[in-house]
Amino acid sequence: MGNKEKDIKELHNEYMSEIIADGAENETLRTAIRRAREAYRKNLKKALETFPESVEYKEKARKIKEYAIDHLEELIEKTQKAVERNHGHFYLAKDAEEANEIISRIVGKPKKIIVKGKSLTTEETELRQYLQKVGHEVWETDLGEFLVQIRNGRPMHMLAPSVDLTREEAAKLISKITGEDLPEDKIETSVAAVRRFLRDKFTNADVGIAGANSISADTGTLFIIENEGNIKLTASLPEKFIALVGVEKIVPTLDDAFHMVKTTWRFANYQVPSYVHMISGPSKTGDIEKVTTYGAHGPKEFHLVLLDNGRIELSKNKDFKEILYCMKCGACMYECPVFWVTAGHFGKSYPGGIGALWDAFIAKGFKEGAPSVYSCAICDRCRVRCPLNIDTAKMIIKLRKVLYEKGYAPSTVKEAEKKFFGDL
Amino acid sequence: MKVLLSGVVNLKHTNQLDVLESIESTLKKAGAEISHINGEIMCGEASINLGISDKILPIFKKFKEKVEEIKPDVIVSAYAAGVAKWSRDLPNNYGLKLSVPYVHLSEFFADYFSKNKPNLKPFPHTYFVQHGCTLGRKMGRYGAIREVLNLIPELRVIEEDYPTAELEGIDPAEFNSCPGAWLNFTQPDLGDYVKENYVLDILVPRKPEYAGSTCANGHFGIRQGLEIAEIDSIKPLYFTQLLDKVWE
Repeated sequence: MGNKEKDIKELHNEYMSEIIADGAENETLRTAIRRAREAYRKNLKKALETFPESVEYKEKARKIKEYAIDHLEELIEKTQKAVERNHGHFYLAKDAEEANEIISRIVGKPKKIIVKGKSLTTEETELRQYLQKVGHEVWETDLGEFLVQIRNGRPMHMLAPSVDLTREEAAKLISKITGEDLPEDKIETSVAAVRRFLRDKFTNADVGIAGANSISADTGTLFIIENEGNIKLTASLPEKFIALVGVEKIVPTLDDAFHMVKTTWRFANYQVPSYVHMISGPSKTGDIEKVTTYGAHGPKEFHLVLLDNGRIELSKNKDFKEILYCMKCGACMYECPVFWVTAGHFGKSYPGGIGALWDAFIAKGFKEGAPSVYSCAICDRCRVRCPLNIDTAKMIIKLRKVLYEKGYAPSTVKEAEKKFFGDL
Repeated sequence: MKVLLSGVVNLKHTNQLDVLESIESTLKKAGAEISHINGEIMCGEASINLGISDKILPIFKKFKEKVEEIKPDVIVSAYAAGVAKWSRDLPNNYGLKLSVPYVHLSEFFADYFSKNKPNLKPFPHTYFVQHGCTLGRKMGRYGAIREVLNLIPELRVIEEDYPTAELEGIDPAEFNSCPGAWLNFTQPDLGDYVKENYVLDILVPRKPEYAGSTCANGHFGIRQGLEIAEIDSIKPLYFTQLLDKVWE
């Protein structure tokens, strides 16, 4: 919020200082990304060799998203009806502030223990920070996001929030919080230490919060992909489960939602994820006299908070609505030459080239989002890697025109204009 | 054949005079009569990429007027940007059309060699070719440079591979990494790291003796990257420089 007072020059300078000092100058980060990129490619190859039909998923996924974004408001209404029919609670938050307030009301009085799954939408609203500020104890339970929380950072990749860390750095960070002296070369001891540390939080949690990878409007079902098992616990153990999801994740049917989910995991490099959850409402039983009673072993309450925050308006913008097709599989980032040297320092709430567009239109606004728009190398490689063929470079170029007209371009653009085009 | 060579100023701006020399030499070997537009700024793609396209529309109108005055048979450039601009953006978005074809140098030479048998000396070395993003991914034109390089006896051409390209039915060139040259216009400080990383991650492991991009902008990125990374074992060589060496 304070950035509104900063002038654009200051914003560009601050961004450049961060992206150079914390990103490009950091040799360890480059090593970590190089390792992650090689692993991504190897895993993707294995996944596509095992399931060659996945290549055909792309076209259908694109069509599903095109339809969904063109019928967004209609699908939101359908989702509401389905969720309420399933005895869930439905909310449509117009912006980040309203989403956080709604969730805060659902959570209730302070000092609750909240376990949270990884979610870029909650990063967009800064939900963890908001709930901590009003007095709750909040724990990120995805390992990568847990590392983000304990180092007070922000996600460096859409799916792998701590992709910038080496095993050695991760072990050091975890040792600090658990008080153990973990060996730096063994990833499994770090993983086990976090498991031990968070186990107690899961069992005592009052509220579980997560995002979702897709929602089917016909049944009001959330699909959540995960590998760690933290979502399983987050969505099952606490009395209340809250999902904060961007409206763009809605697709018409259960089949469509599953198609989006399998496309996401396959191009996120998995042959198959360990878990895909389908959640359509609160836990219930009809085992005694066939009387439906809510709150059996799982949460008694199910709340779906859908976040608009500019998405509905963007869905009507023919030049930029493609931004909303992004499934956040993160594949593009492994092939982005700028991401290779900066990780998520290229971006703010959302990393990478597509992230720069999300920041500008959704999370941060044109002014604060402007600097990362100029970090894109316009090489178009992300489009080739994107399973939905999203033309990020083309949209970045169009957005630069808007930013130039608003006076948000960096001084280098003005210098180039003068140098190359000044005399003509 | 009357050839208007476009993008000369850009080559001078980026101090790629050796590349310019080789372009002029090879065009002459192909029997071209070369002309330039003095002070011309060809790099229209930059105006689009920087978001200032509307403001510089008069430049393109002026370019068109000059072309009509010079009346070349063909316009050629080492930069893909002008090719993209004049074959795609200006006709489609602004109704500006040229009366003569505007082609990339690789396409000019591929066409020339398809009609004329050159006498090319063997070049027993490894050459890494980067398919520039504008001519490549954005326009899908990969064939010409391959045709030209394949004519050189004993040359071993190295292209960037991509592990899933075949599985996905995609030309690996579609996945060619970017040496980051467009960042020179927006965030040059960041661009230096991208260029250095390109050299270290893409070029060095493939161990070519020479490397070049189809596009003079990408080629500039590679040159800068080699300098920043202080790699002497790989020499930057634009394809016309290579052609000039072997064309007797």
